[in-house]
Formats: sequence, C-alpha cells, structure tokens
Amino acid sequence: MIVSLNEIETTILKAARGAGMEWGLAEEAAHAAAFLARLCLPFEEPCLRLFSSRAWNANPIVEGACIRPDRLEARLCPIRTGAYLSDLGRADPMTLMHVVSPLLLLPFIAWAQQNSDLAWKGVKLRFEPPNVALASMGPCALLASEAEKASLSPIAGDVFEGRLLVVHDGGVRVDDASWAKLHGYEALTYVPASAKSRVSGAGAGAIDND
Amino acid sequence: MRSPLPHNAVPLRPPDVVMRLDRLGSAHQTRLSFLRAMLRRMRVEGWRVARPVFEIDERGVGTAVYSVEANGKIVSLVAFGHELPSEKRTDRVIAEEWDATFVLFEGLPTAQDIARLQANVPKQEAGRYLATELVLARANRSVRLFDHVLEALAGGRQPDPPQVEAVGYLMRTTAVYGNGKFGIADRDRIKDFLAFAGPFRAEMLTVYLVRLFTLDLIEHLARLRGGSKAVVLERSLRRRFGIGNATGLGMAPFLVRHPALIDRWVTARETALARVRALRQADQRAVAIFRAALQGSRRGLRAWTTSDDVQAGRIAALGDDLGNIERFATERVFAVSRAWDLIFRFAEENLSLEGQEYTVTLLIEPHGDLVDDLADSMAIEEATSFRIDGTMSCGDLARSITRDYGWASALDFSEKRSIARFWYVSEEKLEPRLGERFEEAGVEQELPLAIGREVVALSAALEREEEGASVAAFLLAHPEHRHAVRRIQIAARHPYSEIRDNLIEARLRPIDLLRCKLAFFGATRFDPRSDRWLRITLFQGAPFPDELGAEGTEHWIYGE
Repeated sequence: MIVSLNEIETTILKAARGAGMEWGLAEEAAHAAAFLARLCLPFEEPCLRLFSSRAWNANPIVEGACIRPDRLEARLCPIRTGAYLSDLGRADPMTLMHVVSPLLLLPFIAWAQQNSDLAWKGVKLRFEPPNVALASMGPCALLASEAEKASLSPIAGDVFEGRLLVVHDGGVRVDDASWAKLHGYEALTYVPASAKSRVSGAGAGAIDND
Repeated sequence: MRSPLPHNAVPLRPPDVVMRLDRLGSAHQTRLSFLRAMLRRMRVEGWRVARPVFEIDERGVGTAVYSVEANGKIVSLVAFGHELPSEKRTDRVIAEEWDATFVLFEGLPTAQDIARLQANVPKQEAGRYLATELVLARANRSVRLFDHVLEALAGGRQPDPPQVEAVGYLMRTTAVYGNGKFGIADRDRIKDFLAFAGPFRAEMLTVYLVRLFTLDLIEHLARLRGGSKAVVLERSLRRRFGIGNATGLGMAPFLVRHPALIDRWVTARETALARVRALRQADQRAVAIFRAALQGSRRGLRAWTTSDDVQAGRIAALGDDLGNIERFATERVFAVSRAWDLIFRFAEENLSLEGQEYTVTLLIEPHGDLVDDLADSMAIEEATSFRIDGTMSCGDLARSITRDYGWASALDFSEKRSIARFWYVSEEKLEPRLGERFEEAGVEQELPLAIGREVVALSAALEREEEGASVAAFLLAHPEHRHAVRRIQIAARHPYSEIRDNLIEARLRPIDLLRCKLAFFGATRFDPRSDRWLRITLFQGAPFPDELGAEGTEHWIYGE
C-alpha cells in the first residue's frame, strides 16, 4: 500500500498513544517515523517492536557519557532517550545501553544538527548536516530489535563507505501487514459510539437535507 | 520574524484580548482571508481556467474537468455527478453518497486517470489516492434552491432573486480534504506548486472551481430540460451564487494542534489592523471604499439569517453596531488626525464583540496597498517550531508560564464544571467528538486539547525542581509534561498561538472554534445548526474566472 507522509505521522501519533506513550513522546515518535519514511527507511517494524516493548516506561539513567535503563531487565526507549539528546541540541560522545529499535534514534541525532557518527552492531550512520549516510551489514542489522550498545561519537577520520540517504517526498510504500498492525494500536485511541454520543457527540437535531 | 511596524506604530492588540474564545467566535473575513488572497493571486498572475470535459446527462450524472493553468503548471478539478436518492442526502460526515464528488488533480488527467479516479472519488474516504491528487471534496444540492433555479431557467425565466439571496448557493460541500489524507499529496509536496504556498490555497481553488461547476451544471440541466426555451443566468444574478459548506467538530482540534500556524494567521490580521490605525490621514479613496463596504455590509446583513437564537441576537446587535459606525464616521471624524484609530477605539468602547471584529474587517478593507503583502506571511514551516530547547532552565520555563499563561493559572480545575467535557475520536466515524466527562465512557482516550489544565499541572511539577535544572533533564524524567513544554516554548515565539480559554468547560460553544477558522478562510453567513456544527457560504458575489480582470471587483464580498 502507498501512503502519504501525513498519514504516517498521524497513524504513528495515534498508534504510539494507543500503545501507552505520553502525548508529547507520541508526537516525537510520529515525527521520527515520518523522518525515516522520507529517507526511504523502514519505520513500521521498529515502531511495532517499540510499541510491544513499552520501553518508555523504564527511566533512563544518565551517568557521565552513558545512558542506561534503571533496571537490569529494562530496555531504553529510542524515543524517550532520543528526545533527550535532541533537546540538548548536542551530539556529545555517548553510549546508550540496551536500546530497543535503535534505528528510531536516527531522526533525533539528525535534529541535534551536529557532525557525528551513530553506530551499533553492523550499522554505522554518519551525520554531516543536512546529510545522513548509512553503512550497514544488511537489513537485519538495520532493523535490529535491540542494540546492546549504541554509540554516538565525533566523526572518525576514516573514509566512510556508505550511501547517502536521499529525501523522497511522494507517496511511501508500506508493508501491508505491519501497517494493519499499526492501525490496531491506533484503534485503541478511539471511543466506541453509545446511544448518547450518537445523538450529541457531534451535535444534531437540525434538518440537513434542505 | 520580520518587524513590519514603523517606530510611530500602534501596538498590536494583546493576545489576552484577541485569543479569547468568545472573540475568536465573533471573527469575520478580511481581505487577507485565504479565498480572497487566492483570487487576488489568480488575477495578478493571470491564471487561465478551461473546461476540457463536460459530459453530464439530464439527471446530473457524468464527468466534468476544469483545468487551471498558472505559471506554466496545470491542475485540474475532476467532478463526478451522481444521482442521489433524497433520503440519502445528509450534510453530516456519516453520509456515504453525495450529489457530486470532486478531486483536484496535478496536471491534466488522461482517460486512464479519470477511470481510476471514477473508481475511488465517489467513495471519498473509502477510496485510495495517489500523490497526484491534491484535494478531495464532495457536495450536496441545496434542495430548496436547486429545483427552483432549474425550473425557472428551463422555463425561460430568471429565478427569484430573494430566494437566491436567502440560500446563496446551489450546492454545499460537506468535506474538503487536503494534506495527505487517504494517500493524496502531502502539503510539503504541493506548497511550492502553483503558488499554493498560502494556507489552504489548493482547498480554496477546489471550492472556487466547484462553485463554477454548480453553475455550469444548472444551466446545462436547464438546457437539456427546456430545450430552446431555456435561458442562462443573468450575469449579476449568477454572481450571487456562492458555494455552501457544512462544517462540524472535525475542524475544531486543528486550531489547537497548529499553534505556530494560527499565530501567523492572527499576527497578519492584527498587523494589518495596527498599520491602518497608525495612519495619520484618511485619504478620500479609502474613505469611499470604507463607506461602500459599510453600506454593502448593512444590506448583506438582511440576508444573513439563522435559526440559532444566540447568533440571531448577535446579528441583530451587529446591525445596530454598523448603524452606529456609520453615524460616528462622519466627515468631521475623517478630518481628524488618525481617524481610523478613532473609529477603532469608538468600536472597542461601544460595540458588541461581533461589531468590534467587523470594524476590524472594515478598517482593513480599503488599505490593500498597505496590508496585502501580509497575506504571504500566513504560512509557516511548522517543523521548525517542533524541537524543544532543552538547554532552557526550569526557572525560565516557569517564568514563561507566568508571562504567557496567566489565563490558565486563573482557571480552577478542581471545579467539576471546569472539566465537564472531554474531546475524543469516535470509533464509528474516526472524527473528533465532544463528550461529557462525568456521564460518558472513553475519558481514557481523551485528546490533548485541555492546554490550560496541562500547563497548571506542569507549573506544580516545576515548583519541585531546581531553578537551574535543564528542561532536557526535567523532561527525561517527566515525559508526561513534554506536550505542554513544547507549547510553552512555541508560545514564547508566537504570541497568538494559544486559545486563551478552557476547551473542556461546561459552557464551551465548540462552534466558536469553527467560526474562527472559517473566518480566516473567508466564509460569510455563519449559520449555527447546533452548538457543534454550522453552515456557511463561500465565494458569494465573487467574480468568475472571466471577470477577474475587470475593474472594481476587488471588494466583491460586500455585494458591489
């Protein structure tokens, strides 16, 4: 199915909320998903994995140049942690431990608007605003369900052998099954009609066929 | 932000005055309104309108295409006429069939494109679309007027002008969708296209072409029915047909969700007002236009009818107000320095809210040279105001709240009536609805439109924070306040971003929200049908494409 960026944004906003995120974080998730889609990167699987993990409920602990979840068995939410990094507006060297769907960190590092490298096992992303380049061992690494360690560092002096991600502004082809599952989360934000709401929820009474 | 005011300027009206819901719900169109700005653009750039396809049978069933060429690019309105049994005709969003359905298409559609669109457009929300589609819309006939006009024209007569004036349109649109809905093009894709940079410009063009279609349709049907006896509409009467629109709660959350954009709209209008008030002298030409617009408005008021008691009272008061302005704005007043400001202050002190806001419209009207550039400042790249500045201290954030959200602190959310309502999206129609918090289920799914309540909760949380702690650290620990913090930072840069009232209180009239947005579109004849939906008229009196170049069509909205 082909969808618009606006549909991606509104669907992820509601799906994230339906999954239990606070509205302010759900907005970040929505922008992040649209950002990935504009770069022709997959957002469906990373979002679904995040929603089922409910990782945002874990408190991230900042210790020097390391951010880790507050409990051993907990995981870091890429949206909650990513938003912190973009709020700071810097991409200082940092190690993020046990991040769910690390690809969702990408938009936040881009928004921090600083030259930096983001890497996890099998993936390296280079940010040189406004450009983002990607080198990856393949879709499995890119779509990793968790990065045991994701590191943010100043651009290394090496030659980066990756491809430049190109912005695309037309319709986006999405995976039908995943899209349907995202709509399932979205549906959790809807309120079923009742006899009363049918009558008064949108206002009624006046003749409208005249 | 640019600074458009000279040093001897009049300050803009404060947000605490302008952004109250009762005043927003008294808003009127101005010459900066989107449909008027679009028509000016059309005229200046010489957009060319053609009708390459018009294949409609005597029942009104068939296809028509209107193409618009602007700056070397083409967009087309593809219209589908349908036969709709009367019992299926409803303005409400629950409808599944309509008298006519429309799509604004990028380029000229091929037969193949039309076939694909024909399989989807009549289904509206239930169809699927591509990025070549820019706007989707549908419309129903006004049963009251359509049959009367058809019968008259087919019989060789002009329709009865009072009946035309009383309704004002042959069809009313019941939804106009843009910006990526159902797969159509995202705004980012079309904003540089065809000078569609202005807010809702593609939607306004769609509605303008739909109006043209309705008039071509009725004359065509009259010809098929009456044969050689049939006549076309007289030109001046033809212009009295606008296009109707029925709008419900679907539009309401928009104003809250787009704070930076709303600020641009209001800033443009308030800047225009301030520029006019700062004028030292009223020139003769401007005074003449002001008087003509005032008189035209008084005439037009007689045709503005509604079954809503509250609005009927306001219209009556507006009638008195316009009389008072006319009596006040004498030659002697215009001879005084800063006469326009004098009229504004007279209105502020003596007139109803409707009257005060109508005065704003009248003051801006004669001053196109001074204010029309502002129409180009009413769009904004909203993504630029989305990021949160986490380096701000919690102390500074608290001070921002004190400065910009005094209205919220004054609300008492421990009172049941202050939180009596809640906004949600209905599962049945996927549209925003308003529920009663203490009587209905679903409050867990509440939409975040109660900004005042959120800000008050954030204030309390900030009291427990160190003054110098960073907002980034605060939000990392308290993501539940992220939504409010973003708004507060936007409000610091965009003074008119926030509706300064409680949108969940028991006395809320949701149509005030709709009215405000519709006034910026350029709507007239606000006719509330309940506290949650209303009808309006668009483009009534507007010149048709072949009349746009004519002299004296600038102030068409006052019936000149």
